[in-house]
Amino acid sequence: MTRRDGVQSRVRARGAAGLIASWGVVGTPTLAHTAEPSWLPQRAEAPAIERNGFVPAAPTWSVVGTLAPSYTTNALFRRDDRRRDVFFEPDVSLRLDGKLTPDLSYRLYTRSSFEAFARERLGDVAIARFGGRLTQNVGGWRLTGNYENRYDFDGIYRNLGFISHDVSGSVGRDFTVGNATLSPLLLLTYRFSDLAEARRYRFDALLGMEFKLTEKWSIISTPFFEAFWFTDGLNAGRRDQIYSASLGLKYNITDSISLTTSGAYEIRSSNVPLRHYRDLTIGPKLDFAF
Amino acid sequence: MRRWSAIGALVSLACAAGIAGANPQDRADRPERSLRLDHDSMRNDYREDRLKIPAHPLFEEQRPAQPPKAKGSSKRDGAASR
Repeated sequence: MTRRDGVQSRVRARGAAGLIASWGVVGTPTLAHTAEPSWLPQRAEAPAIERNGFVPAAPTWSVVGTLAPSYTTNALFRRDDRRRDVFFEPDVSLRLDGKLTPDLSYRLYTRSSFEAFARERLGDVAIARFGGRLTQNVGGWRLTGNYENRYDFDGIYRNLGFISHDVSGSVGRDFTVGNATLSPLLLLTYRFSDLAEARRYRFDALLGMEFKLTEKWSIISTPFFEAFWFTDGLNAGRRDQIYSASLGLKYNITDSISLTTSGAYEIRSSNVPLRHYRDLTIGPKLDFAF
Repeated sequence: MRRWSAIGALVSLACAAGIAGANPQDRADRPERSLRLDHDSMRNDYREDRLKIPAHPLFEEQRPAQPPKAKGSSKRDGAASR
């Protein structure tokens, strides 16, 4: 072997060792089996998840919610005999969020909400929910699968009305255009329930919009279209469509608390004429997260 | 005899209550009642997901130190997701 051959072989060995060392950080299972030069210090093989550079962080607990006193023109969703009233609606969730991989996150949650009317007590209703979701980020799109166990009560947690199991899938994404953030969301749900009349498919197409005016102030709107196909019991064959538009002015009190004054207008049409309704609801909403 | 009459009256009342609870209109209406809560939940989720969860000192201490981020890892930090 000539002196040049020896120098070239040492350069190749160093290059190979450097390459192997760098691959040890990014890592692939196949490259982990490549033999390293014997003159390098031997190291214990890192777990696969560390070779890929991701260590799941501890999951995060949070409490988020909304407190909303509101006025409505149709408390009971009736086609005729619409009743105006004010109501109070708290909606609070306890969440546990975590990541399994950089692009796969999960959430476990429990959620409680109710409506308490001033006069139309027949409209009082409460829901308790327990659920979990997995969200996969694919090129900026969020693909989510969700399961929710739900308890609907008549009154404020007075009498259990029915129990449901909602299974849903959704796709959504955020687009930023200048000071505007657009968040389209498509959601499909099927409800299994011990009440046959509650079983149905539900499709939602929602477009969340936020237009930043200043650091603290923004305009938000969440129009959506919703369609129902009831499958069982006395509601079998019933098909409803709901069109909703909303507009609000949001003030960020802090990064974790905001106040929004908004109005929402809804129209429902149905192949059951009695189910048609129109409703306007306005009022402030205090959102918080801690 | 009086005892059997009383029992019969109680059974009749229970049957009547059962029939009232099974009112067809009531069964068809029941899923309606939480519709506003469901719609407000969707709108609430949109606004709440834009809030920042404050850092909790206790949880920060419990989190293990992260290794240097590898090339191509997600830019999004934190665990909150919609």
